[in-house]
Amino acid sequence: MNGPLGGVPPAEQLMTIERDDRDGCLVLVVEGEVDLSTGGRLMEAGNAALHESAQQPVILDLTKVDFLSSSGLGLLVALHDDGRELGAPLRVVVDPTRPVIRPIRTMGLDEVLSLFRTLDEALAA
Amino acid sequence: MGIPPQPPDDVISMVLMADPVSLSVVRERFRRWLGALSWPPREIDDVVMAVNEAVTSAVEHTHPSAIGAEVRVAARQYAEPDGGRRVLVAVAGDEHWTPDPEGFEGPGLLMIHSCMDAIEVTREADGTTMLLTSAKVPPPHREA
Repeated sequence: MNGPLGGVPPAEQLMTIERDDRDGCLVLVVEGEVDLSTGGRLMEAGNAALHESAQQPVILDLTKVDFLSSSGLGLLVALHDDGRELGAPLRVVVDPTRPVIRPIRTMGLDEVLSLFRTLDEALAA
Repeated sequence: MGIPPQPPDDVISMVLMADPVSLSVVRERFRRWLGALSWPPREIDDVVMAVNEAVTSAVEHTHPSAIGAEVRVAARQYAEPDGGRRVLVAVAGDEHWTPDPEGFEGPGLLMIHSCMDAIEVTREADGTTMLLTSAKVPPPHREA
């Protein structure tokens, strides 16, 4: 069914965020594509979790993210910095066997972000 | 006597709204097109990333008052004498694509550079155009 935009998937379908707190961590499970159209929602959800956290780690699980643009990378850095200020460590889960790891490495963010290969590793850290 | 399968087209073009919702459309179109042309997955990712960043720049730098502004994207696959293939992609914003005082730079450009072999930006009164030349991929496998 084509909507008024001619088959453009609404941003809500392009990226979903589910909250799945466990083991004393605030966990956001992100699925889909992070770009200029969806990044704002991820920024909001991430910021809400960081502000809610009382020194608890906030985990962004990007295992099911298929695409990450430079604007998406920019917001990961912004959330990382906000987390530092708020005393809420941000942990990012990226499967290193999937293409999404490439833009992260290209921009040198593997040196900046706290990256984990699996959610279990991030929870146990 | 079957109908011979139509070879995939070497050229695509599209006109997009200068709006972030256009990004997933252009990514999907390029993914399908390069898939049909039997491009390797890694190089498909590179072209899709570069085109996404170029269109993002056009969208971001379109003046907010420019209702109805468009971004035009066209691409062609061509072969070099050794049979290797590249795509040339043109991303053109109209006159509402406001040039940055410091030129087009930043993480988006860095990303494009990492994904493509060559970038050329031209600015004219009626708009800005970015020309991207991809890395070279081998000729497609053909059945003998």
